[in-house]
Amino acid sequence: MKKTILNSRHKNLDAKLVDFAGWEMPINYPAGIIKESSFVRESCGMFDVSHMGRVEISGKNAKKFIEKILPIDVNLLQLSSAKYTLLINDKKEILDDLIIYKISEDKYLLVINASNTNEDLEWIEKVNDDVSINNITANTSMIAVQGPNALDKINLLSNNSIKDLGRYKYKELKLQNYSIFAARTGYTGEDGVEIICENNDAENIWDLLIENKIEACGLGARDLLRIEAGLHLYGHEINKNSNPIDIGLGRLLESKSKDYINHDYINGEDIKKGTESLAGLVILDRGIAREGNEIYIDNKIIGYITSGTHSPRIKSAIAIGKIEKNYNNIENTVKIKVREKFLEAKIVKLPFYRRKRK
Amino acid sequence: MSEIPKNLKYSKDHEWVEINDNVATVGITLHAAESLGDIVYVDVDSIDKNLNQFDKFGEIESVKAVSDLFVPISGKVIEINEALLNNPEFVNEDCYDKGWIIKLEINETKDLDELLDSEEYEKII
Repeated sequence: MKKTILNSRHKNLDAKLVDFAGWEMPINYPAGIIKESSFVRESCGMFDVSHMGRVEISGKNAKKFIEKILPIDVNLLQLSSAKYTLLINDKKEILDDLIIYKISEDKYLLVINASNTNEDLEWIEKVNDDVSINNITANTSMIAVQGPNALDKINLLSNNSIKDLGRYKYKELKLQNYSIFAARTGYTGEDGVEIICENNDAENIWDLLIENKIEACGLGARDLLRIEAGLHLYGHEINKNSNPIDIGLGRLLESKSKDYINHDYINGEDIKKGTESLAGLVILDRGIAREGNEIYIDNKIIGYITSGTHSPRIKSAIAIGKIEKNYNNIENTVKIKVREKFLEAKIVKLPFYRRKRK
Repeated sequence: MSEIPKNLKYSKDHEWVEINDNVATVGITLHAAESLGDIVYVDVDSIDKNLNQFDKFGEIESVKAVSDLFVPISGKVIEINEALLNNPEFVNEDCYDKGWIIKLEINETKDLDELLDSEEYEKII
């Protein structure tokens, strides 16, 4: 199994380690998933996300290449800005969801899912014309610092360097003596900063953040937080054959460029004819609905659960399901088949949790 | 590593049982609680139900997983830890005391021969 540079830190903290996409990663620390999720909602927590793929695209034709492979309007992506988007191949298959950062006119950074890194790279290499594609995953580490106190904590350690950093912007700065890339992005529904650093500094930065009372949180808490925030996870809400509009990501298809590989697909009529949609579900009975459970209305299967968990904020089990569009009405009640039982659930608007803006 | 009380008997399914006269108190072990993680639901059979050794008597569910519960000894359900049903985190906080799950009335103790003592249990975890 692959290990991140911070692996020994996780072991020292007595984390429960699991295989995640071929990486040995902490699912939780002794505090447990629920407490860790509360650290992030109430103060500040951090996640080792070094397993996520980091790929630089550079060269004088980098912008043209990005325009060719991603559905973003490349002219709207400003310097030092980030954007959430989809990687779709020429078979209309979604290979990944990712964040693209514009470093300069001829350099971009893609942060992609660990589980998709190889396939993404294979596709990007296949359609490459003359850009340089540099997988920097192994040379760098990545820590997501998230929570209502995250920005204050990072400001304190960086001489107020991110005081004016906007959402979805990034900056290269010094965290004490360490050079880092700090982006105001995340995957928890809280404000926060995602740090990319040199491997040599990763353990020192981790220790510095621990000293500053930022709590280590595992992938279990991360999954719970992203479900509460209604955020998609590849392999769950997003699959190869998903229709981006059906899964609520139509807004990402902003490109009008004829050079985009899927120009005809995303600007055509067929993509609007999908019959599915994502629904938020609050479980009214006792028990957790989990991925794959069938969803029923009047004894008819109308879809299935894509993610489920128990939310300490909602104080009940919550789930995201993919269901037929015409049944997706707020307040509709459905039955979810969990093992031999049927749990009653109510359709609600996503997200389940929205942070209070300062 | 988890401490394993010496005065209890254990099943291979990670339940513990404590015998006081004709009453058996049943819960899950610390090893099981730690493996499951944060417990959010405990559902158990109703009072007066007669169960044979290793029969399923309920389910315990954590944020990450669900697991069946099996009685380590035959008997009739005489008490359910109602406080636990509302506070399932008791299992994580103190699985051998306030995290007990059910009490059974038992007729005989020969089922105990099928169970492990603390040293034997420690070897399988």
